[in-house]
Amino acid sequence: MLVVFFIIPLGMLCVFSFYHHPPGGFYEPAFSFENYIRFFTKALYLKRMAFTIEISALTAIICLILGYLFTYYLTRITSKRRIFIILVISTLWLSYIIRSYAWTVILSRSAGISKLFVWLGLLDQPQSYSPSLLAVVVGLVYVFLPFMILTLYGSLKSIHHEYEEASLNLGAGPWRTFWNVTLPLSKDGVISGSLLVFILTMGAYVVPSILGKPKQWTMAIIIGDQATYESNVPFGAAMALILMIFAIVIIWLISRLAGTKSLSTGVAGK
Amino acid sequence: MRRRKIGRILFGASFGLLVTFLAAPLLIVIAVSFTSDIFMIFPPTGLSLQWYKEFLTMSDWQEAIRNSLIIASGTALLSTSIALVLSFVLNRYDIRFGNVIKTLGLLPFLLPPVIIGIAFMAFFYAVGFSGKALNVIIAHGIFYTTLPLMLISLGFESVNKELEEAAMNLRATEVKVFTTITLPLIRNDVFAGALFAFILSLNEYFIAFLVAGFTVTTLPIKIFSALRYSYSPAIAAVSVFFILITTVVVIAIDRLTEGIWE
Repeated sequence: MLVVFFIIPLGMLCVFSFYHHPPGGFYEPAFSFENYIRFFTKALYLKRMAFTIEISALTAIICLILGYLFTYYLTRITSKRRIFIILVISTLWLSYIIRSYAWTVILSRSAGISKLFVWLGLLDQPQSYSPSLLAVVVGLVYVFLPFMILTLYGSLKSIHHEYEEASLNLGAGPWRTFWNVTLPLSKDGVISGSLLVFILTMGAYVVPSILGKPKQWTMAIIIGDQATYESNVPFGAAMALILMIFAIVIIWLISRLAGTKSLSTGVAGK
Repeated sequence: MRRRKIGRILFGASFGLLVTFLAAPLLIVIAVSFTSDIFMIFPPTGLSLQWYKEFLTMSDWQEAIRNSLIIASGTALLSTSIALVLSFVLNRYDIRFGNVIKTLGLLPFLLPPVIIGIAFMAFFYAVGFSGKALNVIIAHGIFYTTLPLMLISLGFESVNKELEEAAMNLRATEVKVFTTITLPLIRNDVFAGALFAFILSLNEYFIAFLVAGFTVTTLPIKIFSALRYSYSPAIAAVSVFFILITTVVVIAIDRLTEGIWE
């Protein structure tokens, strides 16, 4: 039943992607590949797709490093752990809009972090850091980090400390223990967390449109604009399908290369 | 030994920095919302509640609050009802979909909202349906069904079958067994599921915008369009409202499910 609920709209998406968009009109039923041809022949759209993939990979890597550090520490403290988890979850559910807005405040000239830099003597004048590529990356890492933390939490928590202690007792240093014991044991969490963040960034709309310039716009913004302001739903539908296919292929490739059984086992945590 | 100690201190410090990274943006928004200035300046030169007053008394903000609450409640009701029926059927016929359901619960996060948004847009155009707020409720309700479904299914699984059988043996009808034995036992899971759907719908922007953005203004849609023109501290006051509601709901879910996130 639920599958049907999802399949019908997704089927309509497919059908619409072959429709025709008359100039100045809305849409008319047709079966043509014009929308697909338009996407693959215009450098503008291909460039946006390439940018979306690049920034998704970058966000996933940064989230992985920061998230691992955070979660590793979190699983090793015993008191107040729940407070930190509630902090992570609360920021997770909070609208992307408000979290992006918070970063526009922090990166602004009048109320932002540059004032702190001036006070510390690092800058002469307060300045604005948003909109920019840096702001987009910081914003994306901020909104998707909680997903990484929660995914890693399940896998890091289940590692028995005895393994690490055994390695340390046998004379391996902390780094060697980390590389040879802890990291391999948390491999599933690392892969699913990174894939999850990658996928989320592939679909990101709010963060790049609030914190970025048109040069940093992702596919989701291009698609949304086509479907609303340009009232070209067929072209938007075609690009949405292309985005979905790209995402699925990349995920499939990575999970094949990494040899995880399925994405779900890792993402679902326990 | 000393090197290890330094390492541990550095490790703790980076954890502290990350906690700051997570919390600071929210704290700054809270601080800005109490400013008496007309523009966003940090630190504020004075304190006032003027932006809360604006948020609570201006009619366009009020309308957005009303729309958002209606849509989020409708979504919670719709998705929990679907989830309850589905998980009841799955449980009754003893179909063990444990892992499938867990994966489904993650579907809303795995499918980019832009795809769901455009898909529902195309769907509503094709069937010629435009109930405006109702469009959003339907799209959200279906999209977010998976989370209550996951919670309620796990709830059903944990119900002790012997209790139901005992009631049956005492000649209770199936309906009566469900309402007096099963439902009270899974009540917390149902509430937690409904809260999940509520909070997700309340905070969702993109699908709502695609499906009904030009006709219905929800709070996120209103904030987004307000951000295009100004950076009024009123937005900070609205954000505090969201932060409060979200935290309360997260803690409520944590209590109801006895620490689902642990």
